[in-house]
Amino acid sequence: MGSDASAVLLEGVTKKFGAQKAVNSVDLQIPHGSIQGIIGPNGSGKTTTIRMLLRIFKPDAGVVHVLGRTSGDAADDRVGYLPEERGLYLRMKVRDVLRFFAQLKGNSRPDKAIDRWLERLGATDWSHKKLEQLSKGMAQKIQFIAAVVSQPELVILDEPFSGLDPVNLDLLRQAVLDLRKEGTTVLLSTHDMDVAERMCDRIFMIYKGNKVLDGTMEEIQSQYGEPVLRVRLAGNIVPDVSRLPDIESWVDCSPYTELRMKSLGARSSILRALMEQGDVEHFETARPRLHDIFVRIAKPSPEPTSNEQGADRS
Amino acid sequence: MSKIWVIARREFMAMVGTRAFLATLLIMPVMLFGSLIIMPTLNKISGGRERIIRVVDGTGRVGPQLVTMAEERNKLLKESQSESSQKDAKESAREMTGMTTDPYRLELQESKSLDDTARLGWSDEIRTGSLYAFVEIPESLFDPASTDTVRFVSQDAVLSEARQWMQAIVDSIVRQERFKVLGLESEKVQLANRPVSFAPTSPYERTNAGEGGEASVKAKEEGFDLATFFAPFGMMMLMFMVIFLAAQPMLESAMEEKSQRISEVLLGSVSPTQLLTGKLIGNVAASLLVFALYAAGAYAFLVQRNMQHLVPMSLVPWFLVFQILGVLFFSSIFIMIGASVRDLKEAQSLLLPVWLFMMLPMMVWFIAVRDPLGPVAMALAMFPPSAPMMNVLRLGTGVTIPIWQPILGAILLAVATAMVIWVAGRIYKMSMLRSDSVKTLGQLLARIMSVSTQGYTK
Repeated sequence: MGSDASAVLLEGVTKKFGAQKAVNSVDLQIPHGSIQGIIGPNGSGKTTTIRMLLRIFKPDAGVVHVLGRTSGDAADDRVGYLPEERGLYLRMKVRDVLRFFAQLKGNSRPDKAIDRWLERLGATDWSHKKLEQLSKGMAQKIQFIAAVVSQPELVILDEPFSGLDPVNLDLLRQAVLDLRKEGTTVLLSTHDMDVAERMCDRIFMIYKGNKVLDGTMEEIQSQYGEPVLRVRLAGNIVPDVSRLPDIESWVDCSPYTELRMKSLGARSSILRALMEQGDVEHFETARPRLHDIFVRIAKPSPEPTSNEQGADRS
Repeated sequence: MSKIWVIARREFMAMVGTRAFLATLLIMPVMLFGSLIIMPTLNKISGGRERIIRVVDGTGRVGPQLVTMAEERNKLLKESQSESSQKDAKESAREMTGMTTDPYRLELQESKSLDDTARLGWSDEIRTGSLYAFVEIPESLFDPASTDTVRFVSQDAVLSEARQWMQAIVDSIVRQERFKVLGLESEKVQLANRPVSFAPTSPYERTNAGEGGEASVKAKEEGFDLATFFAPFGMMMLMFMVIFLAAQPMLESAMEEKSQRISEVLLGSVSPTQLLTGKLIGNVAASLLVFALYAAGAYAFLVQRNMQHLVPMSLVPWFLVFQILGVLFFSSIFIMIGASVRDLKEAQSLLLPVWLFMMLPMMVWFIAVRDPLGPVAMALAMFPPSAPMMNVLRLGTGVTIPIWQPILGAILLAVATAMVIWVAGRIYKMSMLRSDSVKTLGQLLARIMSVSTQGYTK
């Protein structure tokens, strides 16, 4: 797929700070009108990648295509950005701050769009309040409006749902899904694996500057789709994994224990061995969740006494 | 370009559209000039208490005159405080009565001397407040060879205005009496003692010929006038206030943009150059508004006192040049510091040297006013951090400063400002996106030196 067919295209992008490689030869392609999740532990290179998309950083190697352009001193006016929390002048009034950010994106008459978004997110009554008077959730909604009010073609959202109550969470989630419907491309950076799994068309994971996951959820699950058993014994008894056959590794996901098998054929013998240890309350062959895949990739190297080592020994 | 104006407009409104701005605008002159305005008012408020002074007159002739003079003084005081009294009458009354508005009630004692018991008793009365002071005038005072001393006893004897008032009168009476004792004619002695007039005069200049008239050569005679002396000081302080009011919000603005991660959104929309340019334009515009408000206020104040001639209008263009450069210079430094720290506490240690440089002209203003062509004034006029204030101070003295000097001062300041803006732009971008902070001047300099190696876009 060429850069014209993609909203974002990274080709062999590397960014160094001194001797440290923050991003190492990363490729990424985000189709127009899709929601792309970007996940990774803190300090893995997500923010650096986003800043390269915003033209705040210039890559040391590779090319960054954003909406068909490869260079610039600042992000295209067609790109909206919501940073993680904050990002607003607290002493300004809601309408003034929204007008300011819209005008920075070249929208000289943004009042109608501001009114529309304020109404859509139930914030009309707050338009003349100062940001410092708003609750965290309300401020988050205003920040979201600031990112989308100038109708960008690409929106980069960094943890847009943090601090929201369930009602506002659903409201904002729906707003993001509606953006996709309207043809806007969304890059969603989040630590909430559930959000990423449910909302994103594609997921990209970066770890220690390297791309480690890239694809649809199905593709990722099939890539990391080793058979996993999710089990639970009555009375919260933790199974003695060393006495279970054909187990490659295991993870304590209390109240469950997740067992990675050497092969699917081992299920019956494992069930029998579990029944010898206690009353089996839950026994399920599961697809790996994004959370588990993330943990499997990003978990620090285990100490000799850790679960993985124990399982390996068995 | 339009994005620069969007940023400039926000910066301008953020500075001037707040109650804090209005409050600072009012508080600053009060802080700097307040004592000059408030002191007379406070004097008036705290004055009006009758001061009882007992007089023990050994000569028998000084005391009655003192009593008469005190009564005259009290009368004048009363008249000058009435609403209907003329301005000139008020002025002359002040000359006669001094700064305080306390009436004096002199109690002339019958005895010609005091013993220690009386002295102790009256001293106790002074301590309890029922008596303000007592005075002992020795009998031998009219004797020209006398070395006896008049004693004025009060709790505030050293600073007492009543003592100074009384000393002047007693001195005059005693001199007259001594002239008589010595057989001298007091009028002749006064004539002989008349001080020599020694007029401070500015250099001669040729005046333009009027209609049908001829050009002439004239020189302006100048008296030592406090207003003339303080006019350059006022201009220097105006420059300080304008720069301070403009630069300080830049520090807060940069700190807010860093801590609230606003800079990331801004830098995602505009280039660092556009952002800094917009911020500085808004800042300079706000400083020009501050200047306009203060200048208008000061002019109105002077017009009310018929002192508008003290305003050197020819200085306004110079003032504006140094103001714009000074605001850009200091605002850039404040932005740089604001972007490099996490809170105000960290900023304070970095600001200290900046403040010292900024206040340097205030520390030496007296020397500079007395000798505006001297080496101290000239050096500080060329030194960029002190140039804005020192140049307007020197030009405000009315002394002819060689034109190349303020021009060179402005050029040096412009070059330094360009360098500071360039460094500030790089530091701003680099520091705004970092979570760590700079705690010492050394660390800030190290960051400035390392800017080019950090791999940022520009």
